[in-house]
This record gives sequence, structure tokens and C-alpha cells, in this order.
Amino acid sequence: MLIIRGVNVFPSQIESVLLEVGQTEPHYQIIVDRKGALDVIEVLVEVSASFFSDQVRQLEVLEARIKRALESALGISVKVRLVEPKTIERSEGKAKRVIDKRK
Amino acid sequence: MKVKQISVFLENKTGRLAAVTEALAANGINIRALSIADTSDFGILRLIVDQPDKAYEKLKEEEFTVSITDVIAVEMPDQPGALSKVLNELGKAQINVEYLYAFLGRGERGAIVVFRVEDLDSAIKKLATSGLNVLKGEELYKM
Repeated sequence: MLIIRGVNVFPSQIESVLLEVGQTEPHYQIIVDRKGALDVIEVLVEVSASFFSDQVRQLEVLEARIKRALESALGISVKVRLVEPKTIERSEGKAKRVIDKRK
Repeated sequence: MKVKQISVFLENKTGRLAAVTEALAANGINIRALSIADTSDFGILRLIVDQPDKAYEKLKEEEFTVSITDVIAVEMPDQPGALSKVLNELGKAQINVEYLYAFLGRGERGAIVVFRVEDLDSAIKKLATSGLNVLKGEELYKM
């Protein structure tokens, strides 16, 4: 569990949102950092080869949909970034899904 | 009339574009034209190559995120006003252009503009009677 801007965030919540939104691979990574006094959270999601669209608009719509769904589920604002498939480390447990750069 | 364009998803990381061009080079594929659409997080590389099917297969094998999109190529005189004339014709025919990029043909050839349009089949029908010089895929790949 992470505490971001005073809110409890469970990585498993993020996983279930991504599965529900679909159109991405089930591989994600959470990067938490602090900008000034505020915690910020970025969720990296692998684009799905089968979904990949030649249109920037479609990918932006997907990013926005994931962002809205995550914000609605977590109650805090998040940044979402689409990354290439197979670039997120496959972890054996939950440990590597979160990179906490605070401290 | 349809031209095959290869699209590749590129993360905003150094070296990704070079990696694609290396993969093409390793397979003897020659690029005819290219364009990149960029956003703050990622880019989409669009390529016209001399062997689109082979490029698609090889890039997929190297685990790039690729797709093939059908686009249209129109040849026009290499002179001021030529592109305006073409765009006006497209406008009159209610053909909605999503994006375009251009290059100069060699020797006697004019300028070539590659378009992605909203409704390709309808655009091809309309262009057939427009008087515009729409090129076949094979002509482009071999240029």
C-alpha cells in the first residue's frame, strides 16, 4: 500500500482498473515522486500491439480513459503514460511494480 | 490506389527511432518517405518503404509495435500553387484529410504528397473523377 498525498493507494486497485478499461497489456508500473511539496504518481501502461492505432487521437483517448478510470477509483489525480510492450519488467511478485522515488 | 504505410509506436526514449532504422537497414529495406507525429509521451513513426510487407514482418519480429495503414499518394507539379490546387479539390469533394507529408520525386517526376483520409474507399472513388494524378502503391515503393 502507498500513501500519496494522504490517500491510501493499493497497486491492486490500479490493476483491476486497467483490466476493466482493456486495450492494454496487463503490465503496469507505478512511479511515485515528489514535486516540491506534492506527491505525484505516474502510471506506466504497456500499449497492446493489437490495439495500436496509427492515429495519435486514439492513443490519447485511451490514455485519457485510463486516467479518468484511475482517478475515479483512487480519488487522486494521476498521470498516465503509454509505453512500448515488453518494456516493463515482469515481476515475480508485486514488489517491482512500484518505484517510489520519494525520500 | 491504396498505398501501404507502416506505422510504428515509439516511446519518448532516446534510441527508439535509431533502433527502427537499424532494423530496416539490417533487412535491406529502403525508406521512400517518412513522418513522425509526436506527443509529449510518445511518437508515431510513419514510413513508406520499398517492401512494406517485409518491413511489417521484420519489425514485428524485432518486437516493435507496428501496423499497416492504407494511405493515398497524389503526384503534382513541383511549383507554387500545386498543393493548394490539390487541397481545394479534396475540399470540394468533401474528403477530410487527417494528415499528410510530402517529398520530391526524382528526374521528371513532380512532388508527391501522401495523405491519410477519413474514408479511404469513398475518397478513391471521388479522386478517380477529379483529374488528380493518384499513384499506385507499386509506383511509390519503386521510386
